[in-house]
Amino acid sequence: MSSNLDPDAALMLRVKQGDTAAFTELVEKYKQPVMNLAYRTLRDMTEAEDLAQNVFVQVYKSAARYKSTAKFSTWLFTIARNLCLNEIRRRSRHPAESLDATHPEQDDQPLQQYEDKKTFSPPESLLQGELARQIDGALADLPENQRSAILLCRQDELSYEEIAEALGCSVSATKSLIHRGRETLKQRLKAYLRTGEGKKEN
Amino acid sequence: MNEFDYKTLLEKRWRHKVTAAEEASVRAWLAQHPESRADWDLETQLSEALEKLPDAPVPSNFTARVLQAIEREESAPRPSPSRTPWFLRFLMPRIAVAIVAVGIFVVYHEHTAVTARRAEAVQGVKVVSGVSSLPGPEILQDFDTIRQLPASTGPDKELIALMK
Repeated sequence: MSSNLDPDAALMLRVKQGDTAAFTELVEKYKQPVMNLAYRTLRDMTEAEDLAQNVFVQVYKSAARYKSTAKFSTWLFTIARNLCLNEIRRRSRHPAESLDATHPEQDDQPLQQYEDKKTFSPPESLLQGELARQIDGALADLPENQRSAILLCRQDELSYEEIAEALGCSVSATKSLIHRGRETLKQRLKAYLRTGEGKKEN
Repeated sequence: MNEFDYKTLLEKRWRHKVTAAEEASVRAWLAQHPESRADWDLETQLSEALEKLPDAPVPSNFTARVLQAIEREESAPRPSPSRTPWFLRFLMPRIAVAIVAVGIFVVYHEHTAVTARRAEAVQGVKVVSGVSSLPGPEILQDFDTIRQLPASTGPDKELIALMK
């Protein structure tokens, strides 16, 4: 019966029966893409970690409701996007000063500098070069649905149909979101793309 | 290759690298449509830049933290079940439905009564407006005399006989 089943769906069926090892396997496999989506949506490492953690807690708690006909990754990214949207709404209701907010007169300087006591490196130091930093900034300025569409588009395992399902819109609307988002990125990053690291590879 | 094929390959390039054969056919098409060359190059560069975006760092203990969070949630005291007696839980929705039904009936009944009263009033107005003219006051000049006549007096049979 389960020979044609998506391997992740097979793992979820085991999770439904309380198999923690199967759940751990799924977390290990998807923690990176979920963190990428959360970080590039929220632009705050601590909040992104909390949100990503919450995504997997939700997955575990909702395992009983999971239907193996649905692809696991689509279901997972739908949960992740919904939690990101909730967080964005919460922020808009309770705006707080972000440590990542830039100084009004110095675009590239944060408002406040705090010593990072975490064991891993801060995200800025991991971004390789000016282009990556600019892309992150440009992505952050995109409308949420365009940004999510572009970020989910980076997930190889998701088809356009599955991205559309996660975004809750049609395939044509999804392609339109990606197109519009990319047009904005191209306009904003034109100078960097022509002279930056992208050019060197060609 | 036509424009549709070009757009299809452009969409493919959003996500994946094109094959050498596809790249060659795009280049051939671009040679005939040089106005699209800059756009293709920009799309390619943007796709490569997005592919190269570094991953957000994931703490090494991430999975352990997820499992701990689940454990915490599972061991947390669950909200106590409702203390409402079972018969009240059974009756409450039915009572609510009954109240709503009675409300609807009262409103409907009131509406029907008002409509009937209005129809009656309209009918009365119609009757009055149908009378073309009323007699003048001179018709009442003998009213008092006639009123004072004894009510039980029958016809004056003698007078009737004389007149015959």
